[in-house]
Amino acid sequence: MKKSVIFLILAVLLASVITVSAADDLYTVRMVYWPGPESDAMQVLLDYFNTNLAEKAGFKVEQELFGRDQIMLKQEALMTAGSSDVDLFFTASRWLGKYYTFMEPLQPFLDNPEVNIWGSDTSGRIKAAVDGFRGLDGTLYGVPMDMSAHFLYYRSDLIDQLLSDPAWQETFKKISLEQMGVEMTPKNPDEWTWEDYLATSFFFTKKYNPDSPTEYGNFTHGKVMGPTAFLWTNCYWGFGGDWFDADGKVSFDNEAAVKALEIWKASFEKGLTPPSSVTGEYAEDNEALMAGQVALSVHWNAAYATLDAAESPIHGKIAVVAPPAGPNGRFAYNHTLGVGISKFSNHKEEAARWIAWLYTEEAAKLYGEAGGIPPHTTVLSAMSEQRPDFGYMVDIVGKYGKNLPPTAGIIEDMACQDLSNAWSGVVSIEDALKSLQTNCEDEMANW
Amino acid sequence: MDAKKKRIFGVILVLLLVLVILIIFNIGVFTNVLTSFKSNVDISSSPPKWIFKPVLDHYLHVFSKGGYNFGKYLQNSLIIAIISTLFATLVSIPAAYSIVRYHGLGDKILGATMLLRLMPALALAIPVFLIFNKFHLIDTHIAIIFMHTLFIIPTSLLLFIGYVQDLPIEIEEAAEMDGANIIQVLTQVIIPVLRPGIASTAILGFITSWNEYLFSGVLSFKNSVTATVGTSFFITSYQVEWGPMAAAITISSIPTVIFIFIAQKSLIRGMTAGSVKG
Amino acid sequence: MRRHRIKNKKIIGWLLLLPITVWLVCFALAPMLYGLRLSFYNARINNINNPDFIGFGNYIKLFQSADFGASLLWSLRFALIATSIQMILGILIAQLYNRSFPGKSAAITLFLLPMVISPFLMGTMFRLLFNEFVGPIAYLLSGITGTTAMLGVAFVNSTILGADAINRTPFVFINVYSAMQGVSQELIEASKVDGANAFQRLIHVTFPLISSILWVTFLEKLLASFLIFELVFALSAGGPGSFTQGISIFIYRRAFQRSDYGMASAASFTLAVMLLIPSLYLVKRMLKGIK
Repeated sequence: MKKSVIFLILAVLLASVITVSAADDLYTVRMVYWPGPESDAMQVLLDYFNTNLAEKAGFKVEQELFGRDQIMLKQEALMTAGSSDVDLFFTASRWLGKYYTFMEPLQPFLDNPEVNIWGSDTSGRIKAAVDGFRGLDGTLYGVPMDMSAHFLYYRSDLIDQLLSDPAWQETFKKISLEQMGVEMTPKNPDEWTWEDYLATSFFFTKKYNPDSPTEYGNFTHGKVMGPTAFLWTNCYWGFGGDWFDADGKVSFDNEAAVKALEIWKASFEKGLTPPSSVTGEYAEDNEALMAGQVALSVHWNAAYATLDAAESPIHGKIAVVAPPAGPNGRFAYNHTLGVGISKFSNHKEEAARWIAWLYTEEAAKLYGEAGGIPPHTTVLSAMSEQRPDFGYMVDIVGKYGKNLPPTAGIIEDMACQDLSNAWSGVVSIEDALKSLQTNCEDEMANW
Repeated sequence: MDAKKKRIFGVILVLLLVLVILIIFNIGVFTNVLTSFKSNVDISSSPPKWIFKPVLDHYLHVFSKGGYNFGKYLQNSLIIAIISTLFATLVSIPAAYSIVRYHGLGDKILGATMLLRLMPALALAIPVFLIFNKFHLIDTHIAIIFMHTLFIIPTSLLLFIGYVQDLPIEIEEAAEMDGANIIQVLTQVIIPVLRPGIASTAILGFITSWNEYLFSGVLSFKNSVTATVGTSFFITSYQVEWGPMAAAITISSIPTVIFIFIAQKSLIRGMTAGSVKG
Repeated sequence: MRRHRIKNKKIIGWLLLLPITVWLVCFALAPMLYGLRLSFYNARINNINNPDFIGFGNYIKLFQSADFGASLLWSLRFALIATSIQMILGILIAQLYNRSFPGKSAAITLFLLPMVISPFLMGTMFRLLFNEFVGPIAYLLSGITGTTAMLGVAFVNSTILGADAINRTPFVFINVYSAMQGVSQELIEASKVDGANAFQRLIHVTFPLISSILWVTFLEKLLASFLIFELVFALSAGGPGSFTQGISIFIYRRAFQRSDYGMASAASFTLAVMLLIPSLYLVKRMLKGIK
């Protein structure tokens, strides 16, 4: 009885999963890509290309999806093994410094009309994004496909009231004097400094303002992972710091980092951000905003579509501007994800022809309509009606956009550990920065 | 009469306590299944909803998402789990037989096998990854099968030792008298007698392989991705796609849940092997 | 002739062990030795095919790093607390189950359910289920914890302990329950006649009889908890900062997030050596049970 049950289960499982694969004559170019909204959009491109253009191009294309946690490891496996299994590697602008030795320079292919049968060039794409795919010596290695940037999200309904309600403004002044030591007046978020950001966070935290409609002022990503360090970097740049100095040397143990960390730490220490945000990231931030429990957040652009979706509880009540300014200027972090040709591919020309097509406006348009965020000025602007965040993207990145250098990916995991230690109060800011500086210097010595 | 009442009351009390314990320990499983039937809006509702209109969207999404082939991942898990279990059985039975009947070197191997069970598997991950990479074995079924077999062996071996110990030595001696060699003794005498034990041990092995995450993840890209690893693909570059992830977890747990129900006894025996004499 | 037979028998015994030996050597011993070798090199993705020999460089750096010591300490503390909690829970629940009641078989099976879901996947789902604003479990527990911020600094360690208890108490339970089933009912009845209550019977009759199994279970659980990885990795990734970073997370980050293979190998090997003594002791105890 038991045996037959087991057998039955196995048979059903096997039968239910056997897939039929169709034979095809055309070569299939294989490309590594990230699972998620990026790959959903890419799939639309692939379907279009394989149906309409495969004949003309002479090949089909398919994507291979690696999970987020191990994508670097797996790419590295293919790279160190010199594997020709895939023709295109996935990369991000900040990882290029680690990977470019395994990739093929692209420009010669683009300039060759026999390969680039579409006659495309890089001019349509946002220049900063294209430059993100250049090595330190300026060689172009790929196509930037998907752009990410940081916005300051705020609850427009609440800020509108703050800017018009005299009673709220009085409270704001009082709280800022108590907590920040200076009397401040509410300002339009587009004119904020990081101090305004903190003062407004205090105002919207119930602990300091029992009348606040939200429980917490802001949501600060605190989880120990690279991307949270990038969010902090907006503030670090504002105080005049950067991950590397002009000579390319790691640079964290400085006054700017202390100032920026004090801003970040204040949110956790004073309870301006939900307590569990120390282990929170993108997903947790969205839940907090949609629950109506926080008023502000420096957060990823991609969240806009979810937060302002028709069924979202805060639909129509959320707005974005560039992150606040520091004494040394105002910056909006951005990076791009994209693909480049593997040095080990046996079909480099096909891969290059595919990349050349990805550079066309047609591809960028399809990609944007399918939910991706192509760093293509005309496409983004044209679509800003149905995707307001695309318009903000062009605007914010155009004015305040700043990249991390291609070598940042090498130290990102170290940076986030020490930074997260500092802002969550596990280690003092001073000690964390010392440790960060030493660790990163040691690491960079190997590259 | 009073004693009877007291006894009934006692049973009810025990049942209530058991129920509370089961609810507490299964709260994760339960809320996960609940999540898989919630719409995205309901998943993100604050405070969380307990009553909602169930939707099947996430299940459909898991099977129809472009570039994502959950059917294939399930198939891979199945192939890998079955072959690993088969290998582990083929390796463990002769070893168990040798340990029980021949002594000598076997005790050292047994000790080493049990040591393996206690050592950090993570320590093996890096070298295994690099070695398999050198031999171009990454993203093949066999690479994962090799490692899963290794992880199934310790428990299988302990169980088979128990089973062989219970066998009367007389049958084997009779077979040997009839001129059977050791291979014949194993295949014609021992294995047929052990069949029920093999089935239950195999189920335990199957579950071990089916749920393994670290090595399956490190050793696969696309072709040999298992259901467990495939499920983790719903952790995307930014968001975790809660609904599809909950649905994928629910689907891929079904085989193991069924096995637990039909093979409870052997499961208990397998888990206690080593500390409690099987 | 007899001598020949004994020799023959030895060879057969050895041959039967050959497959398992091959497996252990190829997939456990060889990787371990390769890892040991790697720990003396500066090996990263950019030079993995031609790494630099640096002698004890990785070990020196490892023992100087405060991070490593803190990770070991976290793991040790976690292992002791988690194991104590789970032993107590496991024993109490086993005692409850150690009587006949209707639906017992199903109740045992249902108790094993939490073990069938991969801890990594369940850990990831726990991020939602423990979420401060939308997490069903966080809300259910807020009556006890007084907050829904289960992953904040104040609660994250307790949350990990709780989630791990859900996952692994069944293991303790099963061991203890099986052992209790082996205790003769006559002894229990005899002590009942003597007027011992349930608690006294547990302490004075059952415990002495199963103490050896309890000790082995405790040790095995302790070692497993010391190496906890997947659940923590999914829930907190060892953070904030290095606040919940145990030794396994320490190694994982070095190996797979920083591609510092040499350092990760040195840490792995150090860990293996540290665990060797308790493991050998435990194996000896277990072998005694088997023979």
